[in-house]
Amino acid sequence: ETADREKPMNITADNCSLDQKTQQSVCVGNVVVTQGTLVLRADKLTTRQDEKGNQFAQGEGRPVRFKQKLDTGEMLDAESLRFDYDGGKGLMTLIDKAWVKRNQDMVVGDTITYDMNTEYYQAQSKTGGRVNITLMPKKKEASK
Amino acid sequence: MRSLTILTLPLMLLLMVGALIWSLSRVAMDAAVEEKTDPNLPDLFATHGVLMRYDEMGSKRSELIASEVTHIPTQDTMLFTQPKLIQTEPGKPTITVVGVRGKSILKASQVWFYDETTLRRAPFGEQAELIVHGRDIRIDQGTQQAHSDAPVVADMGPHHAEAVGFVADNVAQTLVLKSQVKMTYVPTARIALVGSAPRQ
Repeated sequence: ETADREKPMNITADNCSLDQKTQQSVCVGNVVVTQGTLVLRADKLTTRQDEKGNQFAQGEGRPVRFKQKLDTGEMLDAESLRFDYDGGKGLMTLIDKAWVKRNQDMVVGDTITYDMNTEYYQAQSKTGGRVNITLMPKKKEASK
Repeated sequence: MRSLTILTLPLMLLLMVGALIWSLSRVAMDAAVEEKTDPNLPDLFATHGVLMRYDEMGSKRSELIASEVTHIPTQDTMLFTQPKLIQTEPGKPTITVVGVRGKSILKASQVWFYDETTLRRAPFGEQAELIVHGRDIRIDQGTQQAHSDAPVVADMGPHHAEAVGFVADNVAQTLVLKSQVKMTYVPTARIALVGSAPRQ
């Protein structure tokens, strides 16, 4: 949900190290991040916070799994090998073998950028690669 | 023959008495020396002790207050009851550690806090106060690090963390949470930490 970014971020992991000076933390092993309806699972997570308190995170996994409920109530699922999260702009970028599934619609690409403000996502492929989009037609409502 | 015996008898007696005194004093001295040299027995016991450490410039680096203090010569060991350690270093946040039982060795260069222990690092710059509740914490004054392998809970402003085992480094200002980590970040924490900045 778009309000997720304002919510506290909970992180569990095998171990973490925090650097007070840079306000950066690195967590490794079974990392699970929950923030509102957003749930993210990764092997490694690096988080940082800027002066305004915005959160920034990078991570990797085999793969990274990402799940979030949209304002419409639909569930959005995604996976990739790496990700980059900019809490200031509300952008989540999924990198390497990325796919996003929303209900039955699916997008596959090398990089998928998901805008958490508008809930839009944009897929790109490496040069020579292809983006693959599957849109499932909505069933017509039965005529009365 | 009799006169010879008469002559020598007092001398003999004198010798015997002298030998007796000598052997008694040897035994007594040995006993005393043995008692004094046992390094594993306390040689000092104090109540309401205050120990302070100063650096070469004469500024106070740490102060340790305890309801009971026992000193044992081996490794210059000090045992404390209800210890409270206040560590102040110029340019660094003050650290206060309060415990139930404590021990220090080698001129308090290494300090242990056993049982429930609370470590507080004062607010510093933009950083809120850091409060760590743990147990069996060891502090190395040389490296300015605090270690523990026991469960620990840490709070800094609205941020919260739990783990089993930690290493806090006051010089590098880092905190390593060794296992079973649970953390909570509050996004707009920075404003909360620094005070109520006007909301755009």
